[in-house]
Amino acid sequence: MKNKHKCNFLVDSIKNLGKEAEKISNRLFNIKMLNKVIAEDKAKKIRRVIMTGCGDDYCAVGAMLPGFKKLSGLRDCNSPDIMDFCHYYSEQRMHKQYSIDEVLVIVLDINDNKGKSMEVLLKVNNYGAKTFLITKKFETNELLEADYTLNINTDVENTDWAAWNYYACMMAVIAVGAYIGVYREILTPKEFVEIGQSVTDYTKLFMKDIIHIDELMLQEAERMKGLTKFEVIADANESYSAQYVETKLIECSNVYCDHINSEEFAHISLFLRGPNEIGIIVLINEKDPSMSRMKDTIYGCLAQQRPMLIVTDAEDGDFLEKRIAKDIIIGGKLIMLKACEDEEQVFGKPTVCHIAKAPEQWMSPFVDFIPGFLFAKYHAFLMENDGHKE
Amino acid sequence: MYQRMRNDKYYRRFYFQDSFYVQCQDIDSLSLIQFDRSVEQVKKIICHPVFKRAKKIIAAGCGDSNISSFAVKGAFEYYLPDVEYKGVEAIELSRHYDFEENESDTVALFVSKSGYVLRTIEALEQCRRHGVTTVAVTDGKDSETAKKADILYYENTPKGDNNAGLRTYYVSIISLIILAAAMAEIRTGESKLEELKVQVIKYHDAFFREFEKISDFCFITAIHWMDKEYFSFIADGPLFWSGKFIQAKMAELSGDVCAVSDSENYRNTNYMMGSEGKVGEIILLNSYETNISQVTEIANAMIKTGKREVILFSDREPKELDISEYVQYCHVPFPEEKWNFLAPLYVYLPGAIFAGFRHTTIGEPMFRGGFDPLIFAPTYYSPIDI
Repeated sequence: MKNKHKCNFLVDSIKNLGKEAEKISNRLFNIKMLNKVIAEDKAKKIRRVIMTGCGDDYCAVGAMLPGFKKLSGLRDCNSPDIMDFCHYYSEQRMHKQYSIDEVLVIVLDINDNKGKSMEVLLKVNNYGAKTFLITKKFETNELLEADYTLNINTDVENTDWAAWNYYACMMAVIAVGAYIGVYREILTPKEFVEIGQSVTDYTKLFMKDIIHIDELMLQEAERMKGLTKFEVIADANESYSAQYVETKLIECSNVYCDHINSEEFAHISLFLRGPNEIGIIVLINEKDPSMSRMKDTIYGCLAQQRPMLIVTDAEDGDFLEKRIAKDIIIGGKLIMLKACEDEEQVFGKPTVCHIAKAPEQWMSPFVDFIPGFLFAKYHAFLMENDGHKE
Repeated sequence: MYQRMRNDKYYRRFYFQDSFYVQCQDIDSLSLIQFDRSVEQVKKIICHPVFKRAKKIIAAGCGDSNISSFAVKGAFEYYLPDVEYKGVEAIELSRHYDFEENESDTVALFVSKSGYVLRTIEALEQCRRHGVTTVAVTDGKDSETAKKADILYYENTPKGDNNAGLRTYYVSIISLIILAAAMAEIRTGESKLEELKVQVIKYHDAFFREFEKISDFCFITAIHWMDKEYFSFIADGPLFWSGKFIQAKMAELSGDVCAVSDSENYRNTNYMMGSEGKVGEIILLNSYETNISQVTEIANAMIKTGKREVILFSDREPKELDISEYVQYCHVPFPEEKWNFLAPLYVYLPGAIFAGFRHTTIGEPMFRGGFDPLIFAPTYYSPIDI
C-alpha cells in the first residue's frame, strides 16, 4: 500500500516515540529536578489546581486530568477552556474556599499561543494565586510572569512536532501531578518514578503494533478518502483524544470534523443528512463504564451505513454481536424491536484498530490519539491536501 | 447545487407557514405564561430544606436538556455566588462522575421534557446512590424521572407543537433561572422573582420588537446560502451553548453539519475547515462581553484572508465593533449588562429560525422524515412520536 502511494508519515512522526518517551520520562520523573521548579513546601500547600492551554495544549491537559487527580490526590482540579478562563472565570470560581497559596493554575504553552497564555498569567497574578508554566521556550516574557516554570525540551530530530509535543505535554502534566502526590503522601518517591516507567512501558507496548496500525490507517484513509465530513465519538478522558484527532483532521485535510460523546451522538448527530457520507472514528476503552452505551451508538451508526473506524483495546467480537430482538416499553409506548432478517446487509461493518491495553485507564490518552493522527495525515495526503493553511 | 426560484414569494409562502417557524413565533406568547407557571410550581417545592443548605448544584440532561443545563450557569452564579454550579452531561454523571464521600449538601437537577430519557434516569439513580438530593425538572409529572426523584419541579407547560424541541428548550431555561432566583430568595430573605419578571419582560419586549426583522434576515440568508455545504458557528462563554443548541437544530431540521467553536478554537483550528464558498460562518456576539477585540479580529480575517461569507448576530453594528470587512449584519437585542445571564432565553432564536428556513430551502424533512427505532432504541427515546 505504501509503495503504491509513496508516503510514510510514520517515519516522520512517531517512529521513535518509544525511545524518546523513555528519555523524556527520565527527565521529567525526577524529584530533584522538580524540586528546583517548585519547592516541597509550596507543593505541599496546593489544594486546588486549574489547568488550561490553547489548541493541542488544551487537549493534553484535559486528557490527563483524571490521571492528575488520581496521582496528586487533589479532587478539586479542573481544566476550563482558555477562552472561558480568560474572559468568564471569576475570582470566586478560581479560589473557591481556598487561600491564594493553595490554588495553582497550570498553563501549558508549547504551541506559541503567546497572547492567551500571557492573559492567563496576568489574570491569575492579579487574583493572587500561583502560576505554573509548562513550556519549551527558554526566552519568553511569560517566564517573567509565571511563579514556576517547567521547561520541557521537546526538540527531537525527524519528529513531527504536533504528535511529539502533544505526547510530551501529557507526560509533563502527569509528572507534575505525581510530584504533588509525593508531598501529599499519595505516592512514595519510588512509586513516583514507577509511574513514569509505567507510561513508558505502555508506550513501548503500543509501539510494538505500530507498523500494522500505520498500514491500517493508510487503508482506512484510502477507504474514506472521498469524505469531507467526520465525527469522532468518545467519552470521558478519551473525549480529549477525540478533540485532538478532530483538530488534526481539520488542520491536515481541511474537512468538517466535530467530536461528541456516545449519548449526545444518539440525540443529535444521528439526524445528520447523508450518514453514509460522514466518517466516524470511535475511541473506547474496554473497561470504560460507558462501553455498553458506546456499543449501542456503534450499532446505530452501522445501521445508518456510516463508514466507521474503532480505536480500542477491546476485541472485535465486542462490536460485532448480533442485535437481540426484544420488545421494550418506553414512555408508556410499546416499541417492537425485530431482529433484522439479513443483518449483513442492514448493518455495515466497522474497521477495528487494536491498541495495547492500558495498565490504568487514565494512561490510554498517551497513545490512543496516534491512529487518528496517522489517519488524518494519510487522508490529507490522499486528498492531495497540503494541510496547514497557516 | 439547488435551483433558485425567481420570485421569493414562492419561498415565503412555505417558509412562514412552516411548523418550526410557528414554534419560534410561539415563544413570544409562551414566555410570560410559562414564567408564571414555573413560579407557581417552584413555590410548591422551594420550602424543602435542601434548597437553603445546598453548597453544590449539578444539572444534567440529554440533547437539548443537556445544553440548557450548561446555558443557565450564569444565572446560578448571579443568584447563588456561594454555591458551586456544574452542568454535567448525563453520560458522564451516570458512568464517570467522581462523587464526594459526603454529598448531603448537593442538589442534582434532572432536566427532561418527557421524563423518560433513559440516560437521565440512570444519572438520577446514580446520584441517589451517592446521597445527592434529586430534583426532576420535567413536564412529565407521572414519568419515571418524576417518580424516582426526591423532588418534582413540574414545568406545567401549555400544550403545543414541541417537534424539534424549540418551546421545550425555552421552558427548561426559564424554569431553571426561576429556580435559581427562588433559591436566592429563601437564602437571603430578599425578593428576587418580581425583579426577575420585570427584566424578563423587558428583554422579551426588546427581542420580539425585532423578531420580524430577524425572520426576514434569516429568510434572505437561507436562500442566499442555499448552496453552502456546511456551517460554522462562533460564540464565546455563555453564548457558546446557544451555538450548541443551534447546531442541534441544524442536525434535526435540515440535517446539515454545523461546527461550533469559541473564538480561540476558531483562531487555532476551525478557520482551516472547508474552503471559500462552501462554509457559512455565523458569529454571535454580545457587545457587553470582554471578547470583542478577539472576535472582531477573527471576523475581519475570515473575510479578508479566508474569503468567507459571514453573518453577524449582535446588538451593535459592525462598524461600532471595528469590523471593517463586509459582514451580513442582523441586529439581535441582548439584556442589560447586569442581566446578561438572561440572554439564553432568546438569543438562540435567530439561529433556530435560520435552521428552520434552511430545512424548507433544501426541501429536507425534519428528522429525515422520522427515525428508525431499530437504530437507537432501547437506550434512546425521543419525545417525537414514532
